[in-house]
Amino acid sequence: MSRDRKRQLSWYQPDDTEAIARHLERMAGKGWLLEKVDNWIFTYRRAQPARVRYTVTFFPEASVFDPGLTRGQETYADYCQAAGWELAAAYGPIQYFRSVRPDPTPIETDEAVKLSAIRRTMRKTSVLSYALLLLLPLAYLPLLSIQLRRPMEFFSSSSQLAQLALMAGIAVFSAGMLLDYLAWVLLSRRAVARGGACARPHTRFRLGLTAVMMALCAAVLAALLLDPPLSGTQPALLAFLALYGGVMLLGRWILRHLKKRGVRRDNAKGLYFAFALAAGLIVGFGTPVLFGALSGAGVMHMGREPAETYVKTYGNDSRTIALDVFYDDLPVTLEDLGFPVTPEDHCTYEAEVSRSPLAAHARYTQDALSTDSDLPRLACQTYDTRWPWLLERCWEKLTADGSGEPWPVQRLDPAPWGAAEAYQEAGYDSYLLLYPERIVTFRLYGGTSPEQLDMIAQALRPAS
Amino acid sequence: MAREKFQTLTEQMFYILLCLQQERCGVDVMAQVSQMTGGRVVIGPGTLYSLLESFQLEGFIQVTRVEGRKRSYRITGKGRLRLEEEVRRLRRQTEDYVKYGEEART
Repeated sequence: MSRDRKRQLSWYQPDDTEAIARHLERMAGKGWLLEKVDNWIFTYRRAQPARVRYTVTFFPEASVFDPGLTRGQETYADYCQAAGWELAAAYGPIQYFRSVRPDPTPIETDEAVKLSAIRRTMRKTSVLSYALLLLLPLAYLPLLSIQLRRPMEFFSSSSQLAQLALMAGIAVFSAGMLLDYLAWVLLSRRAVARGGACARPHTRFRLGLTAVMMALCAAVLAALLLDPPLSGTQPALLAFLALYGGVMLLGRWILRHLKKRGVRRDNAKGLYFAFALAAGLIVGFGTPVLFGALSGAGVMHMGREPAETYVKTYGNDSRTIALDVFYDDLPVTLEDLGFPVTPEDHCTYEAEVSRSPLAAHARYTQDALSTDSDLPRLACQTYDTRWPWLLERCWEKLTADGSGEPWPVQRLDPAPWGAAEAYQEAGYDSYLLLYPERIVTFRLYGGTSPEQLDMIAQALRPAS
Repeated sequence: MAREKFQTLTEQMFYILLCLQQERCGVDVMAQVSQMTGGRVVIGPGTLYSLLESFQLEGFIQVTRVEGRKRSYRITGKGRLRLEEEVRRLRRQTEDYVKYGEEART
């Protein structure tokens, strides 16, 4: 932007006409005259600071897909000009007029007519947008119900909690805006029926809700980018956001281009929605395919970067597979338990830890990748939370099968481990220990001696 | 809805129809109404545009001439009937005021 032009993001709702007009008047007082409006972006040009009156009016028959002012809008602007109002800018059905006269005739002198124009415009702009936005959290509900089936993973994942917060925020924001608008319509209708003026919109409430929503979006984005388990997917997320942003900008460019070329409203609308549909399909379905291909080609690694790769040969036809090897710190290893681990076993030591403000979940495994190795697999999990209801829910999940029936478990004496409860899965070397703020599960495939059991439990019990 | 809307004419509606007994364009209507009422009734340009569109849809007025962006209108028979009906309503109202208002005073 040059020094003579200035762009500004407008936080006002379009029907908040008085607040918008006063804002534009303040800008004119500082020497910035409104020149163009494009969605939420106001463009100003530098001028001499002056007292200018602004008013925002609605022309429901116009659309953002019109190549320019409609014939009706031109006639409307002519009438306004005769009354001392100059059309400063228009974005679809929303028109911004200014006047240098100190006390010009108001453009709207019949509140019933004004209310009707606002309602007809809002129905096909903001109300439609917020109603569609409200569908997003509704569409998220089935995914949430699936995620909640794994409470340990869900409540310890900052990214999944951030997603939930975002969806809740969108639901509150869109429902709040819709309800506020409906309340405004009811109040205005009542006031106009009594011969009064349209009600004043709740500017502060709307601005506050918008600010909270923006802050929430920023927090969610930060949580998504900073969540440790997602570290490997950060480039993918950034690429997705960049792709999405690019599509949005391209959409705006296409609309501007169609308008410039004078394409008729219906054709422009058809072309724009065809683009939006195609872009949605490309971003929705094309992105995973693209990342899969990039990951397969080794250009981008999904998940954590391994310390090294072990190429394992297996089968009669000596097929090979590349396996990721990690050397993470584990609270207990096969070496600690007395197993003779050699470099030829090609052990991988993996620790996956996810942490949220509500809970922390750690999954530790030690696997011998070599086909010739006789070492057993060691798998442990700890789940920490200070919320008893959450601990209880996770315990229920761990001690029940998929249909909710309890697992056949054998109760053990928890005292040796300092736990509140201890169980062994019947017929398996799988153990469950419950502490006041921690759940521990572990399994050593192929049998566990009492000494090894004690060693594992001691390593995983919470610090007293 | 439109029928309900015009069951009673507002002052602005009344004067627009009254003005259009002669062919006039929108800008002239604004000036004429102001002149006829000595500035008492002022019609905003946005309101004028909306009312002219509604009157046209209702068949109260018709476009008589189009010169570029300028359109002239004139009241139709249906519009005149509606205007006369409104005058009768207002006259009855005034008569009622004279009759019952005077009774109350005496």
